[in-house]
Amino acid sequence: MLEYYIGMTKGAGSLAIVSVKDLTFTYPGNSEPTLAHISLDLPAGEWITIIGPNGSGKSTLARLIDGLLPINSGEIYVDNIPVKEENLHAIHQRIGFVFQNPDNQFVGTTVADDVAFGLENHQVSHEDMPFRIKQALNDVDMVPYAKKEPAYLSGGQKQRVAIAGALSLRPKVLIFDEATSMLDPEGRQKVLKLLAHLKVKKGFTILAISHDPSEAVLGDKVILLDHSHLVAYGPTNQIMGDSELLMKHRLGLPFTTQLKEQLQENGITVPKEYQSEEQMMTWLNQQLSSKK
Amino acid sequence: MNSKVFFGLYVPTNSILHRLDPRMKIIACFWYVVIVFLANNVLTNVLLGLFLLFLIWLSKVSLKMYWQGIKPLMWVILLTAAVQLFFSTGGQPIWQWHFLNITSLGIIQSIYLIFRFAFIITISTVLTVTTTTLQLAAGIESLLKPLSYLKVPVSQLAMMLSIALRFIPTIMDEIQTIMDAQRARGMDFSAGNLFQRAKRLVPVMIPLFVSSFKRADDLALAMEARGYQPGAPRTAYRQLRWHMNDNWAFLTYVVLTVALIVLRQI
Ligand SMILES: Nc1ncnc2c1ncn2[C@@H]1O[C@H](COP(=O)(O)OP(=O)(O)OP(=O)(O)O)[C@@H](O)[C@H]1O
Ligand SMILES: [Mg+2]
Repeated sequence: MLEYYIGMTKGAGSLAIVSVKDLTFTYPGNSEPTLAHISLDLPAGEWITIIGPNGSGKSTLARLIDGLLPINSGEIYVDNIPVKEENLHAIHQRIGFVFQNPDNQFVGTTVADDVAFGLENHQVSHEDMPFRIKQALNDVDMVPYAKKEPAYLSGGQKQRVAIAGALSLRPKVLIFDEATSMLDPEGRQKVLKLLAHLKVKKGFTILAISHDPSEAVLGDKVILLDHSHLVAYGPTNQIMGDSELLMKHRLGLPFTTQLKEQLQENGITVPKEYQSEEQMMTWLNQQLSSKK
Repeated sequence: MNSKVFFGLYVPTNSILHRLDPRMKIIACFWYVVIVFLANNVLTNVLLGLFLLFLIWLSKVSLKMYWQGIKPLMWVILLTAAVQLFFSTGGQPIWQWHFLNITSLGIIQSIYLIFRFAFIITISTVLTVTTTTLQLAAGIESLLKPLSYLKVPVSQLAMMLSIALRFIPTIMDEIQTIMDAQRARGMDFSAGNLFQRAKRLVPVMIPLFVSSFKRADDLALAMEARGYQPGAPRTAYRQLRWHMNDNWAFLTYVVLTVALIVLRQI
């Protein structure tokens, strides 16, 4: 089943912030496993995107990593801590999880109260809270909204508050389960820019689940799940440029990959790797000028 | 969004009453309601009335707001007073018709009754115009804290209350959206008798229930991911502070109560 695997050297462990070993998971009452024999390492400081058709088990994998579902068989380590009942508090502190629906994860009656919610759960002292709330809101550019109620915020602003809530706990990994899919284009661009900033400037490891190929190309690596199996795991430009692989698993192609696909149908030889729009422009220019 | 109905009549004038500890205000409101029933003569009622006017003045909120608190309950007050007037016995009989009768004592008692009602409604309005729902919830939680020794899950109940307050506007918005969607399909919510109108709300309630369960599911997961464990110890971001002014307010109430007891004897 596995078509490519560009993983970490087995046993090194120190660079992997999340490590999944032979994970199989079946929801109670289901006969078929939702995840079967998944093994993978997430290298620290990278942005990894999980893609896969509906029902392929993406959310289930993300929830298992955060200990939100009990593991049936196999092992998961987060920052070298085994994900188990007795470690859940430590796991939840190390992983910030942002969900799809901006409204259904806003717990507090105001922005500041919502950020405080996680701090209260992790028993951060009352004296330290204002500073940590301000710092987290500053990271997502929401300080002026601290006293606002959620009814006055846009979807994108609510998602940024959710990110602030995660950041306030000083996690190592941020998981986004289709966190931009309910946002308008502007809100989505802001959140995606913020993710890039958090990865590059603050060194967070990002695990994002996305249906949108234009989002999947933003990360360093891509994990492809289908029918409970890990189908491919490799560098973004390899997987997102492989139109055959993506189409076989009923996934959308990024714009430039679509373009290459059509060029190929017309008998033009194209580079195999994924190319960003700028790279594609340069390549097309070269082709056109060499034809003259 | 019609959140006003649910969020009381909070008026942010930042008066001295606004800045009192919500626990003091809740206790004071409660105590005032108790002593209203101790007022038995003209002097005691005048005392309570003047005290209330003093609070209204302190709150810097216009009398109109207070009148709006009483207005919707006017009929209830008058009806109760009428029952008191026509059915009470004792004192000098003034007028009689079959089983109805008016006595001098009945008149006096129904007047007191009207005052009692007005006092109770107004003191509650003083509380709600000067205190946000959030502060009220925090105050109630703090006052109920001793019950946790009796294994009452006070902090979980408080969490439920604060989540309910947080989601009321969201759910109101959703009702609006669903109703608009139904209206776009030609549904008229205002026509017909009460039964027909209630029946038309069924296609609004069902999607609302479905989405609320989904919401609750999502919210529970998000809370768990952020480290919430029901019953586990937590720290508090919002802490109530008892200031010097709260002591003065307390003292004022002690004086009021003593004065009332003295005036009762006269
Ligand atoms: N609580 C549950 N109980 C039983 N089965 C479930 C439960 N949650 C999910 N499943 C099933 O597990 C499978 C994988 O679900 P999951 O939500 O992980 O998929 P996904 O890849 O995130 O899909 P989507 O792209 O739609 O979000 C689906 O077939 C789903 O029906
Ligand atoms: Mg999903």
